[in-house]
Amino acid sequence: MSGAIHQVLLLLGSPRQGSVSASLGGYLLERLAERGLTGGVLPLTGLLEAQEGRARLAAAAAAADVLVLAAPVYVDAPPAPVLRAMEFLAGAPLAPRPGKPRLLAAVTNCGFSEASHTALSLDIYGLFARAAGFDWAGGLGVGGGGALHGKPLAATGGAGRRVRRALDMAAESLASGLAIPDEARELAARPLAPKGLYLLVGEAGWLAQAWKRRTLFKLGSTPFRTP
Amino acid sequence: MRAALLDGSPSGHDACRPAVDALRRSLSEAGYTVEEFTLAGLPMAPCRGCFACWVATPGRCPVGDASELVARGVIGSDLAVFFSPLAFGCWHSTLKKALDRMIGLVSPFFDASGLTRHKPRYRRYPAMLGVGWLPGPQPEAEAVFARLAEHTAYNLRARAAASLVLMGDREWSVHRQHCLTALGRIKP
Repeated sequence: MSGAIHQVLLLLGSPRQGSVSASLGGYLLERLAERGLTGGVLPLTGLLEAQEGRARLAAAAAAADVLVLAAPVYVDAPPAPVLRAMEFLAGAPLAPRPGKPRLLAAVTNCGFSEASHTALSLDIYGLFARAAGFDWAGGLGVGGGGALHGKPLAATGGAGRRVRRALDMAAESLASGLAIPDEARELAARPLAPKGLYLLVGEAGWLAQAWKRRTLFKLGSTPFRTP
Repeated sequence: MRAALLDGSPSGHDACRPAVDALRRSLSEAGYTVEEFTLAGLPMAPCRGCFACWVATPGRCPVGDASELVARGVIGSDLAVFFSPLAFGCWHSTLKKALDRMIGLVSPFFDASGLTRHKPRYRRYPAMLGVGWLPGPQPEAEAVFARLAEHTAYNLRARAAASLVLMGDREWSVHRQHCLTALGRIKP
């Protein structure tokens, strides 16, 4: 079936520059390009505000053999702009293409150390795939995304080694028109760092940012204090 | 008792009107004074993921729009009620935009006593009722939503929580009864 897979579209759901989502999605896109797929990236931030953006999204999604959603978890689920894009695409579901798959895969990450926080987002993407006319190819959920610092994944050394391997495996399957294997999902879900260490470094990061902004002693502020 | 009702129905979605009407009535009958936020009509930008509400202006998003009004209403209530039609088992983007903007209600620091979540910023948090709407039964979406509402309550540090899905193919009186039953499970 590999001959049928040519076009890939990466939808980026993080509003941040240099995001972990861009790092993970970009790495997967590169691996798919090595396997002969061509395509591009559409950041979803602000895309649907204008008719031109909506038309671009609809056309690019319809042309894709593999659609990859790369997004963080916000409050247990995909961020609002990602949901809005999903609602838009599901509003005009794609017609089935007998003999040629139209795959949807997701790569999602959260700031908490446990990858289990990504499970709901992946289930939501699975239901979206069916509603929008895609074949759900599964997804990778990465916990402790902060450990990757939003760097290109190839530059994250040992911290990103298992995630890179999981994405390599995902690319191999997707390029063949197959779902992401369980082994890749399990590999991606393994902690990037020990939980205690990750939380310690994360909290030190908040303190350092607060120190720079002169808010160190205001971090516990309660501006909407209730009686 | 005060309830903050966040109505996340998108503009023009009239099919879920009877459900939100029944919800509003049930809250009143259960003894709540309802402060309602019709989110589709409020100016609110999506979260930009900058974490300024944690480290630059702690507890408050620096983007000046209706999100502050909504967050203030939620934290000042005894019961936060989130209502929206469901899309793929998830809140509609109209409601999710408001939820994404509420992370300043909790602290950036971690509570690792169980599944990791953020420590509380406030001494007291409201209970939470999550109400989804579907045109008819969709067991998979309903199951995802039940888990989502439970997780959201956990992460927003709700004192107590319940969720339910109202179906568009049911009568107003059935919606009302389901809402009253769910409210009976919550002790703010």
